[in-house]
Amino acid sequence: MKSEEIIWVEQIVSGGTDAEKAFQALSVKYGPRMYTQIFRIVQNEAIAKDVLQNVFIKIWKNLSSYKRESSLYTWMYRIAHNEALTMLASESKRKHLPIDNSIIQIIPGNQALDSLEGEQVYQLLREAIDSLPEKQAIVFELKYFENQKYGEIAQLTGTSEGALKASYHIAKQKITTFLKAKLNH
Amino acid sequence: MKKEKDILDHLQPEKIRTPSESYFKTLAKKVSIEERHSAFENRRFIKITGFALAAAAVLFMAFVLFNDFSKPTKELKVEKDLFYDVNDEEIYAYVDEHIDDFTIDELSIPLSDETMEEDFYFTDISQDEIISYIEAENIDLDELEDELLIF
Repeated sequence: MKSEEIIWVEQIVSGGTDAEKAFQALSVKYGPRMYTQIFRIVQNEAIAKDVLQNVFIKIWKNLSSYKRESSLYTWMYRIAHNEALTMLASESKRKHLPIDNSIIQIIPGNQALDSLEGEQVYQLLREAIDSLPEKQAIVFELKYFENQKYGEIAQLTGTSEGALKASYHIAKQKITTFLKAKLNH
Repeated sequence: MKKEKDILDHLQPEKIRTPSESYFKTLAKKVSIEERHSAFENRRFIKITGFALAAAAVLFMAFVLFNDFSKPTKELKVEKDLFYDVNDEEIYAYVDEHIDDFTIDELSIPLSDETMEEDFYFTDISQDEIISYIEAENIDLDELEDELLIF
């Protein structure tokens, strides 16, 4: 049996009368996740909304070239990630971007972190996440920031729970090593 | 034994407020309508461009098929127009003064049969005068005979 998202994809690609409704359903299901993913990169509500609109346009235009080699969410995550980085680069060139709200807070008790601002640490964390392979980055973002269950992440990414747990563990180790190295210098 | 806290355990992710469900629905609707319209416009543009190219091709073919390429080009007209305000006497005087600058080809081309009949018989000059002029100027008679056939 076809999953609902495959049916949506086919309806959108066929461009018939159901295309608009299918696209809405797809957007309601994945839009909030993509929005938070984008927001964590651009850290500005208005820009995050602009990026999301561009992402929706790219999804609408390119869905026919989606080859199902990865899960639909992974494919859309990639588009959103690239679009957010592109927008961030062009907007940063124009002006200093205001940060609407911080992404992390520091819990006191760690010597290396206590003297720093949350934003400084987040920039290092962002750098560490962006250096990860795509699948590890997706798992880390969904688990660490959004506290999603492995079962949900497995459905989104089309990966087994065991593999996801291993990926998350490796991602955390890499990020910890990265942060320690940066904070000790 | 108490597990030592990881550096990430000292960081608390903040909750990010997401827009309402209706925002995503509206955005999806807006994108789908705009993109459909844009796709329609693109198809129309391609159609119009196709027709325009086909029409241009037909016009070009008609030009190639029906144009008389044996007619003198505009360039000649321009050349002629350049001397519109110079009268014949001035041209003859210039050519006479600078006769050595011209080749026999250049001098012979403008001499059509009509011109030859009207102006080139030297009716007011005697044959002796012509011969003494040719001798004085060291003109090669054989060459003149070949080129102009005036004798």
